[in-house]
Amino acid sequence: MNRSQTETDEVLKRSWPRASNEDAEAACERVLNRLKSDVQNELPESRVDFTALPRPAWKRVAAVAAVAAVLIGAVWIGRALETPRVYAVLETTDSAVYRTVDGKDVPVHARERIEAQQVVHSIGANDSIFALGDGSRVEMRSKSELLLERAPDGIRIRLNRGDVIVSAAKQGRRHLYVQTKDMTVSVVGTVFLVSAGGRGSRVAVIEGVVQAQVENAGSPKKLSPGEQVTTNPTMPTLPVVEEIAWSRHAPEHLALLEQALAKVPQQTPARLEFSAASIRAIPPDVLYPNKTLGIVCRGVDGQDRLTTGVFVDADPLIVAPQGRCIGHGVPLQVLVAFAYGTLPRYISGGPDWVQARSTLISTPDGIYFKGVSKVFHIEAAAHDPATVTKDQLRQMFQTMLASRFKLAFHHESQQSPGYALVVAKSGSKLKEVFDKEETPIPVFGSDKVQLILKGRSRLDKLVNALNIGLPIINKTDLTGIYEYEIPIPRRIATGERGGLSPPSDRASEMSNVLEDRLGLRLQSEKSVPVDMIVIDRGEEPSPN
Amino acid sequence: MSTLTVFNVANASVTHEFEKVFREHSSFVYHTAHSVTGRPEDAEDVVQTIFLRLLRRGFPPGFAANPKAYLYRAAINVSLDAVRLRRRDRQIAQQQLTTAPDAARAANSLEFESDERRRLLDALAQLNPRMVEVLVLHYEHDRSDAEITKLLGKSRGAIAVTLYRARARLRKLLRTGPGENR
Repeated sequence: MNRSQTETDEVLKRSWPRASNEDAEAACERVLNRLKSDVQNELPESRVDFTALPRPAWKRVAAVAAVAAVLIGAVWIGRALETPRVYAVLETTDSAVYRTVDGKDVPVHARERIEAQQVVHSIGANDSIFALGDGSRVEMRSKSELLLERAPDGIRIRLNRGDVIVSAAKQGRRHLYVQTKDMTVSVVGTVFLVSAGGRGSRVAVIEGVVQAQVENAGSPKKLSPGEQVTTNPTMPTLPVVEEIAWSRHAPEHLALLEQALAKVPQQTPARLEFSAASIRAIPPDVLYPNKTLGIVCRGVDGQDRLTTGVFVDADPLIVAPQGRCIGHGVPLQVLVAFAYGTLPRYISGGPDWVQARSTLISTPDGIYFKGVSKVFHIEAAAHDPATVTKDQLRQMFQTMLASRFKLAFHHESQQSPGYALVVAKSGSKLKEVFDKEETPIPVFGSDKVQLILKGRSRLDKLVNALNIGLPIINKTDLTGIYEYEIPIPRRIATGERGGLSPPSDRASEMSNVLEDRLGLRLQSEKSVPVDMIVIDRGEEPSPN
Repeated sequence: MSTLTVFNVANASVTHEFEKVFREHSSFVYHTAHSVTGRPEDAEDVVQTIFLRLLRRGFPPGFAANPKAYLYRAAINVSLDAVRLRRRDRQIAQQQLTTAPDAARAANSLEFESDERRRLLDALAQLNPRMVEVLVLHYEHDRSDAEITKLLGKSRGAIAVTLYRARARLRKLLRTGPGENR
């Protein structure tokens, strides 16, 4: 974005008129009362055509001219572009490839032709190689699935799952596309890898330049050899060399990559770091006072927050000044979850003290939290607090964990029984709001007993806050921002004597509350994808 | 007549169904109108205008298919109409007050919080309504391109192009002085 564009954007952000939800509700209530009352008959009515204001005559002429130009252009382009031949031929003889015909898997033999719109998948240990009609070659990793189809200006490979390495032939005016569920890659002649998994997609370039468009991420990104982009920031960033290790042509690809890198001047991206970070370990068995537990970072574009515990009378919000991160009584498990945008229950491994274990102690003075594991107080500040964003603060947090806690981890994809959030038969009762999102947090109700989950967010954030002991995915197709307050059943909030009730009971209770309050319910799912972060190493930081 | 019976058109009274639709969408209409007009009283008028017409005439074809999209478009059009009317009135008032410049300045400062906001609203009023639709969804309602695509029923490419052109046009309008942008 150039300077003048940025200035316009700033004017828009600064001076765009915004109304509060309270004002809107009050105004709408007044209008409804007027419509309900006898005054309604005297209210004036606008003569404006609601759905289409009349266009000036010159605009109608311009529209006709534009349509004519498009038609002429389309004919010209149609002639100019040679229609690509959309098919693939299996070249390898030692791979197990199947195509799906009428719901059945039919084996594909070497040198057999696969037409457009046929879904093919591979099993077994070996990867498979296909030659496309335009001269491109596609290496498909075992357990991958793809489909070939015609694009308006070339060929599109839809990668449903798994990995492919594409050696794209020179495309002339055409393009070769590789599309996953959340990313589209377009090329005119190059070698690159695309990986589609449950957590997101990745593209890594071996030779040439590719253009990657991540869904909902603004303009496309150009990638050069050795560079990669993922659709999910929590996906691990592995060197391209490791990404292509499965290929039978890995040495050739590696040589290509080295050759390409030799031509490109190397730039190591600067690692984002806090200017100062104070970490204090609170030893086990120390009673922690009556405060909210969790962590928050505040950037210029909002806050990231992870709350792990809240007490009666405590302010439910931990407050962080602009450009700072503040953590109260959090174990390493929570710090890692926060830094990588996941939940503590999806963090495993590491030494004993890493895991969050705590207990509540009731004394005549009040309720206290006692950390059985080591918990930390954290305060960290960015170099330039006035301009830092919450994403940059998150990256600084990751750097801090690597340098101070010597954190090392890897990801593991797992399937787990879980639940899906769906709209109940009675229909959604959610109220859409037009305001910034606020992460849902548990707060005590006015009776100081009932715990309430309060938030204003998209439903993806709500499902993360519903702690029933099993993963939940959002299948509602509702995309707005909603305001909600949900009483958390006591057995879910604090457990009963002898520990928390089984997940199925907690899900059932939560589902009843959700249906009653929001018109949503939890539906049991046999298998839900879960991305686990497994801690390989973590050390207690030295005090400062 | 559509199969969706939401309004009791015969006696134009607020039915339970009408109230349900009102409660579901009126806040969205209000926020949209406020972002275009910049004034709470205008936004309230827009809400009233739109729902009054629906109450009296029943819902038109196209409403049942996507009530939110219909109401959104209506909110933009009625709001732009209100802003344009106000601009015209202000121009007339300013012409009448040329002999008393202090009074004209006072009238302007009372009407708007800031000169920058006034210029922004003036510039918005000069844009094509389709551009305003996309800008309001993007800046006021914080919607992604995909969500705007879904609501307006246009392709992502069309939305991206409209947003780009709207920003460029706004930039041009904001650069010119208050008297030059007409």
